[in-house]
Amino acid sequence: MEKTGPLQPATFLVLLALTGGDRHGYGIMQDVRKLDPAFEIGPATLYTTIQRLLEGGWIKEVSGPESGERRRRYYRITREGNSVLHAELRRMESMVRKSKAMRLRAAEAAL
Amino acid sequence: MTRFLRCSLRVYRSLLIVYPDDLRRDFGAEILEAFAHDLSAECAARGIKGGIGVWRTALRETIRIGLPAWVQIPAVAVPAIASAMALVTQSPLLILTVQRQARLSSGPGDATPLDALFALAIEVAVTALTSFAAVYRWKRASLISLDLGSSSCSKPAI
Repeated sequence: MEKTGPLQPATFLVLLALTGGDRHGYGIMQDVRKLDPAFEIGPATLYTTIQRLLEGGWIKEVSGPESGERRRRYYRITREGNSVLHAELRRMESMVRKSKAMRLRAAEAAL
Repeated sequence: MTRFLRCSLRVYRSLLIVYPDDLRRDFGAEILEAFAHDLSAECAARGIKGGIGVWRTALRETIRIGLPAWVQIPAVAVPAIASAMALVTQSPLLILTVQRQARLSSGPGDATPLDALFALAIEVAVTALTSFAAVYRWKRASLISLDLGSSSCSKPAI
């Protein structure tokens, strides 16, 4: 999967959640809600995103620590996913810096 | 597990049919499990309000993710569009009949609004069925021709 522009919010948040370590689907959903309580994420959005990220090679499935009757599927961010995430974070930081500078200039002009 | 949770899971499981085939095949069990966890946790934390919140999200997702996938299936999209067009083109007849009924007292042989509504429903149903049959036949025909093509290609190369 090639990064052609800003990441979709669900993609960004799922990748960000996985930087904290391997997670299963429900764990990712809980982390995403902690990261951005305003973002509405349900099981279908989550697994559509996971499916896309797996296809693109930005995350991979790994074996989890559980040994129950039905093993949960765990996911791990790949090196490619990490670099995409960091590129997106740099883009966001730059936007915040620029908008802060613009706001500062606008405030100075108002004085 | 409460009755509400059990019923919710049953309804959500049947809702999964709306989602794309590949998503259901690869992650159907996980989606259902995540929904069950979510619903149970939210109900425990916030009661019925939490349950309603989980359902609201689930229904929004069904519309946002499930319906666009269905629109891409010709056997669904073509009959839906044809029926909508039949409804649009034939509904003036219904309106005219209702207006006529309101203005004049109808005689024994005149069509009532109910007759017009019935005719409209029949028209829409026939259009939907015909277009579905046409798409189905076309898909079968293309499958047969593909099958013939593949069998002729599958001969071992010399």
